[in-house]
Amino acid sequence: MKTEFLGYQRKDGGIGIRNYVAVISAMDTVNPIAGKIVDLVKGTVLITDLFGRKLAGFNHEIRFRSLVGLGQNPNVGAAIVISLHRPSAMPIAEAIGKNGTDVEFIAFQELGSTLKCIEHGMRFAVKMVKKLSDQKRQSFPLTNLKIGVECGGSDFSSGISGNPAVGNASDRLLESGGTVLLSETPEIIGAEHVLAKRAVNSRVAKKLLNTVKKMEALAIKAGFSDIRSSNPSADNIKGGLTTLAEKSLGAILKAGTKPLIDVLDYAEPLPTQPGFYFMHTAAPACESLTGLAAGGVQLVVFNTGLGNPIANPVTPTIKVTGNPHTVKKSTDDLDLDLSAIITKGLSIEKAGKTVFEEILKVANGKMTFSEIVELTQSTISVVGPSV
Amino acid sequence: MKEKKSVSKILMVMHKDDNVAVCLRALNPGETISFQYADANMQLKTMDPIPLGHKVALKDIQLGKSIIKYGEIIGKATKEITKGQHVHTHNVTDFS
Repeated sequence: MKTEFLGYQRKDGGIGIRNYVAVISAMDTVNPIAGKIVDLVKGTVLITDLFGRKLAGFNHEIRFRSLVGLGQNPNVGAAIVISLHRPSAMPIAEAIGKNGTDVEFIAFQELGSTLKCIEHGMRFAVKMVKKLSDQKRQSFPLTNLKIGVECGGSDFSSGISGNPAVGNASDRLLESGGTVLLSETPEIIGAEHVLAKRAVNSRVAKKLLNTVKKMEALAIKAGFSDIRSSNPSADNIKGGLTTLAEKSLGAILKAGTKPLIDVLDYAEPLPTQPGFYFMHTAAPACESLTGLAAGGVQLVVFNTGLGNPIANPVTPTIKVTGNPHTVKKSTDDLDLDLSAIITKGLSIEKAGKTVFEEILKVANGKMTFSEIVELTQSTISVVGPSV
Repeated sequence: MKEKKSVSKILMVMHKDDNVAVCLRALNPGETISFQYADANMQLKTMDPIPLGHKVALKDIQLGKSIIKYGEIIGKATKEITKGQHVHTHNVTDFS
């Protein structure tokens, strides 16, 4: 088995598999300006924000941690933080710069006009793209590779083809010393006892069970029906899923079978110790993918049953499916067709090997569909009301 | 890793301890289906119509006994289930 990949060395020891300049908007009022800079400079990626300064307390912390985490993702070689004014831009830029990332901030009210902001942003972005494009990829052990595993648009195929194949690839990466990050707290409800049994100690097991309890309480408080009694959904049942445990067991398969090292909060940075981790996130894909990217994964493997086009701007995302009908319908969006598991009896081991090889190819520079066509969106969770 | 010759599978057994399998095509009652179970070749005769993606019993499952998929308990039988029967919400309840 291959044990190395080609990446870009970062000052803090992280290894990027891309060398992006991130243009980060820290307030909704300047999202369009950030977008113009990205449109005009090749090699940049856009991170926008929908709420900005009206958030306070807990939500402010989540948002701050997420924007800093995205700026510090190993795939980001340099970052520009733009906002309406200095107090909302500078602290984020300074926090990103702490790991050695080249960073610049732009305050609209200081430069005074849109065109001046665009010019300032472009000058820095062009300089950084020139610098970063001169950096050579070097060989690094897989202990430096961290992937997120995601599923969306799940259907009957997910738990019997795509997820077990991705899980096999997760195990291969973990056995090679890498890191796998699973997310989506609502999706593990019903199988949390199985994951908790894999925790390295009782502290981590308790942390996982408490995370699930908090999510259930939050769902009820927010006016959702009880997750346990409203799942599996009518569509799930029609597709053949009988109980919540069955649905969730199918979902957690994608993270493999190794011990659970720790449970992270939303957008919390991954510790340096490699292995299998769980991150508390909501279930919608953009929020979950943003949490994973802010946590520091360089790449995501996304299994979809019925199709889903999205990826986070800073993490190349390999789209796979095991559903033969979805392969026919959404060929363009898919990076890997795993339908032979269902149609031709392809073994999970062989399919998992294919996924693992694709992970290494994409780590080494092969582009995914969502990267080529720029189907990306960053969405930071907001928990509860904001004022 | 040894790979057996690729064959079109009708049933997918996810774990050696499972007592149900997932149907990879819609099955009619009375079909005789061969499948691989814990490395042995086995057969069952379907007792019900079973839609694509739904589960069939690989063994007789007594009332109140566990339904096992992925090697884990996914529910309890609310009726006697016979090998070859459709296993779903009409004869299974959540264990929790």
